[in-house]
Amino acid sequence: MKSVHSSHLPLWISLILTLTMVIVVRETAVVLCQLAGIEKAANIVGLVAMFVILMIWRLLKGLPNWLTQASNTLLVDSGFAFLPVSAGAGLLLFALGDELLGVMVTMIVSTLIPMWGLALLANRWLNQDANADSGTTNQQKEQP
Amino acid sequence: MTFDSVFMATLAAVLLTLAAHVIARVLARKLSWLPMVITALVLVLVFLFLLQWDYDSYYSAAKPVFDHLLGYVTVLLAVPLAAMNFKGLPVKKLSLIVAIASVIGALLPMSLAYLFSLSHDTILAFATRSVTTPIGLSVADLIKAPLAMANLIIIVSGLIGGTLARFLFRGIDDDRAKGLALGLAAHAFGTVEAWQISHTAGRYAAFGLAVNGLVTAVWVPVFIGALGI
Repeated sequence: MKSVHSSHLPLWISLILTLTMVIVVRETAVVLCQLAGIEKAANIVGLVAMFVILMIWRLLKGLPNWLTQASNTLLVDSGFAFLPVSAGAGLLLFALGDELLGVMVTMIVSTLIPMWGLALLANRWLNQDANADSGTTNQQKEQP
Repeated sequence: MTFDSVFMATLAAVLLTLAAHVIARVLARKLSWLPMVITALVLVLVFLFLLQWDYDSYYSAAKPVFDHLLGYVTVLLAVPLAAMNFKGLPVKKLSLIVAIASVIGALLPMSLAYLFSLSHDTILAFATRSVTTPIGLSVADLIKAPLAMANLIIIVSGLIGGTLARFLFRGIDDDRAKGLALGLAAHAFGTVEAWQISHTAGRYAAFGLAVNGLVTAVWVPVFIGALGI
């Protein structure tokens, strides 16, 4: 299964094609979700649908290089899409009142402890994998 | 600040937001230590203050356009995930770690918020703590959590994780483990930090961020809906 294959297009054409795909998939998801009565799920349904479409494309032909280049270019500026909500979040920080301490402690504990635990777990499991691999390699080397 | 038509208000909101974004981007290029998201956010608030424009009216003017943009960014995240090269990655073990991270990433903050007797809306918003902003906001919308609160939690926890990661990882020598933990627990900010550790860490962080976002986006709304919270 090839992840990407080389096919060059000018960046502006890549951007237009990628945006068209994204808009079509998302707006189709909106229409389908409205029909199914789950309008709020449209973005997530669109994400999953786009992933399935791309995986099928990847299995059949391999994804073209221009698609990843265009998505990288667009994602660099993706922060623009949630800037109005982010500004509201900034204001909210000063309006938390009695909840401020609880919210801050919850954020700190629930970020740092899982991050540390996951790093330890991944460190152990991934190295076990590497050791097993090197063990196999050594055994293979010892064979005549 | 008042406008004659809805169109003019929306146009003004888009232009103000665009100006803040472009200035923040230019500043972030010149001063690499400056977090672009925070700079852009502060600039929007400064512009609103200077123009004497109430945040609620700015947000209601911007909402129709930015709701669409948020949807497009969420769908666009499928591209790097689908294009990821899994060659050489221990996929089974990584999948198990992602599953653990996704469950803990939503349930631990919600449980802590409940223990601290935080409001119902805040507890719901904490369900999105461990996913990247576009997906987090879509999930928050779906589970009826307040978007601004969900965004605040995502941004601040990402900053905390990205800033303190190197201190936490002192006993860990594998860059793959560091990157994966950063992407899973501190999403976009963590992934930026991971790229500064090494390319290997960055690659694993991107994997963690994308897969955790996708997995969490699927099970959290179903779980919350089943509980009827």
